[in-house]
Amino acid sequence: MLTVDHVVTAYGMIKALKDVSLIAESGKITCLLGPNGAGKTTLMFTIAGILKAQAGTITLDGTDLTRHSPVKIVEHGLALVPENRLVFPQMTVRENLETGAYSRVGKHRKGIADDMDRMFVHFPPLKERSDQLAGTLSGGEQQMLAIGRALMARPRILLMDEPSLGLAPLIVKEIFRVVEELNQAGVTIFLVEQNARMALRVAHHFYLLEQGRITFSGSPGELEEEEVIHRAYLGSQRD
Amino acid sequence: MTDFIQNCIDGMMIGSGYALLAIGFTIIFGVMRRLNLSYGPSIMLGAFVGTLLYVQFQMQLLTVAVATVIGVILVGMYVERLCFWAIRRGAAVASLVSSFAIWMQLEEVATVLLPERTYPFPPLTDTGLIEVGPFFLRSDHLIMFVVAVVLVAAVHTVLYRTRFGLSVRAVSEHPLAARFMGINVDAVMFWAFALVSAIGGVAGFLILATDQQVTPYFGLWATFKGLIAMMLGGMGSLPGAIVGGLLLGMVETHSLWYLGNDYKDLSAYFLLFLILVIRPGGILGQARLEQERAAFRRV
Repeated sequence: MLTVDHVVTAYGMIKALKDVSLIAESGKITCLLGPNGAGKTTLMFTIAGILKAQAGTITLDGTDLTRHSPVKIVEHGLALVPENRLVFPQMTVRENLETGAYSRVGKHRKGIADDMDRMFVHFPPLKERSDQLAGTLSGGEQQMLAIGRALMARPRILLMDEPSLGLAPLIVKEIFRVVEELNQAGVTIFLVEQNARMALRVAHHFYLLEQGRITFSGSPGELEEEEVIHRAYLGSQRD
Repeated sequence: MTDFIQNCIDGMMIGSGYALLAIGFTIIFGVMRRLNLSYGPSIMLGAFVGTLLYVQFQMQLLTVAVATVIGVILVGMYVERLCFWAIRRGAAVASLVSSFAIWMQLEEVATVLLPERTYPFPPLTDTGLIEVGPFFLRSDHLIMFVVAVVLVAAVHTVLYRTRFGLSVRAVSEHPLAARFMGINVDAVMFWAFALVSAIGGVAGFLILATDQQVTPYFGLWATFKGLIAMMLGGMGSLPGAIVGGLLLGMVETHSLWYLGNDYKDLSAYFLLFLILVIRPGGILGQARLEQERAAFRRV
């Protein structure tokens, strides 16, 4: 279980996150929706340890991660699928997956090979292209690679930052099918999205983040879908 | 024709030294996207430590070699802490400028260490020329070439077959993504610097041992040759550094033979000019350049 408790993150004088609290329960899909500039990616960076929280605590299964380095946080079982995928374009698919297991490379050679085979079962297109450079893959394949790469760390929780960004509708559907499938296989998922319609379809619980604050917390269906979509794209200021 | 081939052979031998220098620049550029101008001077200062042992204490060749390499590694770590680690979040140009300042400092230290201009450096071997059919090989050049080949193979193995190499390549491609994977980027940069310094130490030792003398200007010389070779081949590209180094060596020996000493450096600069006009990314760096442009457009 990931707990974010009263977290404040600032860029210089500007507070991007103003007192954010939320919970991503184990075995569930939790979604964070919100318009551009609401602080979604800032929250992801803060949880991953790239940005430091000014106040508040972040705990994963009872361990405080707030003041730790990204290295320690990954070792503790938090993996992230970054926005825009950020695969390593000049490395092969196989090498990309290896970087995901970086904290284990050299120690658990057998385990890594097994995990890699499992990724190829999950994502058949990656198997066909395992020795191809990641930069030559299509957007959807790169997204699968980014997800596979994060899973290679054997995370307790998988964070996904806008996995549907820049992908064709059919590919988006496919990515969300993968998200559900992973969750059914037992992976805890914390998903940040702007594509509210798709996110609401898979989420067990969702939060709305607007201008650095959580403005709604509930299950899909508790709030009218049209309103969620409106607020996820534009924020709650209405005319 | 014999002359031409002979020149090519000589050029490749000399070029192997340039290639090693270029590898140093290209790895640092790849990992940090920053230029280390004081790379040459660090090698020079390390070589001065070796020379000191040779001149003052009549140490053997091997001791001089080890002292040179260790000297360069220590100086390299000093440069990394001061010019790169300390301003790692700052603008890349700050590292460039401070690496130039450290260059001046290193030259001063070298002249304090050994105040005269020129010092002898121990020769690699007593054997002179080796005859192969109609061609001649300088035996010390041959040793330099062989060691360079072995070293390049070793660097390649480290980069493509080890965990450290995986992290170096990940950081070169995308530092932020590397951090998400749990890679300690600062540590990777530090150890990449140490690796590069060791390569520079070997390169400096080999080149100076074939010259059999060392001056404080070797720093300037090594930075020039390494930078030119890297830019010819393509910044951040390992094969590019090798191609650039060999090409630079061959152009130099050819123009020395056909045009005379005055034109040796001039032809090298002219070649660089041509390449940068036709392929701004260097011979093997064009694809990378375009990919980075595309990546900027995507974000």
